[in-house]
Amino acid sequence: MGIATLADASRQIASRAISPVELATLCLERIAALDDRLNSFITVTPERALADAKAAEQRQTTGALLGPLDGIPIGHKDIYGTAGIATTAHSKLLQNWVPDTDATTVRRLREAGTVMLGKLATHEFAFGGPSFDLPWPPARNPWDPDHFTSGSSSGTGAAVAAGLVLGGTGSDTGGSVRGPAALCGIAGIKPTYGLCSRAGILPLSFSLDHAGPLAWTVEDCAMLLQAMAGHDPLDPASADGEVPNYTAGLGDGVRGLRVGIVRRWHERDRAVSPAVQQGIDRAAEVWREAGAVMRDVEMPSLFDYQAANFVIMTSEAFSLHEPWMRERFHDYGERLRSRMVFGGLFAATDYVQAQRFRRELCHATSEASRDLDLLLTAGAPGEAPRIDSVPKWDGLQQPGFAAPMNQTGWPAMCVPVGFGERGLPVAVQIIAKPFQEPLLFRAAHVIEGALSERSRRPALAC
Amino acid sequence: MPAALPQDDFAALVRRAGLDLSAAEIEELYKAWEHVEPMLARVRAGGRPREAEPALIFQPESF
Repeated sequence: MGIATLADASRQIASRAISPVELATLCLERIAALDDRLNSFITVTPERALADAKAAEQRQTTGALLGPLDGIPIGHKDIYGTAGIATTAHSKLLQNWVPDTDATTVRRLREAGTVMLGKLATHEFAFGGPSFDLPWPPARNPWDPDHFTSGSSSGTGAAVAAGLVLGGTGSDTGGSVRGPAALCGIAGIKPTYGLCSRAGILPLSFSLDHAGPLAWTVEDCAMLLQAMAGHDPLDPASADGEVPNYTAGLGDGVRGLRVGIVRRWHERDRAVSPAVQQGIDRAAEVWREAGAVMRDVEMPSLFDYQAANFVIMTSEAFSLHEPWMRERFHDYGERLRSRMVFGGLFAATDYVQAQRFRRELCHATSEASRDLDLLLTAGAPGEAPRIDSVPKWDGLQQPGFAAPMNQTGWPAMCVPVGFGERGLPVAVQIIAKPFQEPLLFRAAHVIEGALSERSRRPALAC
Repeated sequence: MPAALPQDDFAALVRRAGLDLSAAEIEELYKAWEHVEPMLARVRAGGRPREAEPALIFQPESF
């Protein structure tokens, strides 16, 4: 059997063409064969995986499958708490921490029947990286292991692209789902703030953290989000609304939808490679031909969103890590401690001003999008750089395309739109208004069908 | 552009945060501070109306 998409595997399990145990065994064999080159896993849990898979197989044989995710092998970013299984945050500081309970999203995915293969690499505490001075090495990009995955959901990006898992969890505070999706050539969604519970996930920045899935296709992401989303009283920011069906309208197209292209961001604020520019142009053309109404839209500068995001994120992160930053500074990796330290240097008024600035930016974004349904931007500036050439102060020197939607909390996802000069994936970002994930998936599905070459996997993974 | 904040003042901020860093560590962080200052300037920019609220609001009914 080749590498299936999550949706394909789901259909095969439902039709009894494959058993969950066969599928889990295949993934475990692939992990054993490939992951020494990718470092995507911190912890592999074969006993748990086979126990989960046998239970799913029992349900399969008795016609009692729990739903479309029953028997599907996944992995969790290692900041997601997992009962009885180490949750390290890829850090020496939590190297031996074993939570008593599952994060709410982990529980929901477990109750949907997923098979847990293990815990996936992350940038340390979802912030520092790529780091070579931690107890585990950084994840590497399956399209070329000399290259970066982006982060911080680095292990999930690598494991999904290599077909070691059929989907996985990530978190996104400044692009940590969308970055790995873009550079690893997969789909990843940062849902609306409040849609997925943060309870039981190690926080980085309370007001910016979002939980979301990564998978090979848009449909796969929609299926995972269906299980992850929903109100949770354990998360004070959790939205208390009905969760719509994310796959029902996937094929409904984009006819009549109004889309704004945010040219300013990739033409003035942050230069992109020719392949990314071509990807944006092609995506716009695909949508236009499919009946969408395209126009340019002016937004605040990327530098404004970056400034607010940086001050808020580092301030909130430092407040969480303050005791360890003072007493165990050198137990952190060098990249994390160097970035987080700035959060301890700001005045309280800086944090409040950043939150006031954030409200202005949210308002400006909303006003500019008043008569639009979707926005189109670059996913990342270009292809993945070499992992040994990522500048230490990259996030300070230049703004990224992700932070604006951490500020607004709007849903955003990255999907691949082809390959660059070095043969590595490039991506666009698609943005919708709050809780409009069904629309986001519909629009992304159109781009994916036209431009994403989902039949092409990294050579290492074939 | 070099940082406007003098390095001694930067070192004082580090000490105020309770961090006991070496001179070399402070020196390296100070070099990066030149990238932080423009962001702080955007955040601190004047002109916001007095009544402009933060993005986070207090909701007593949520407790």
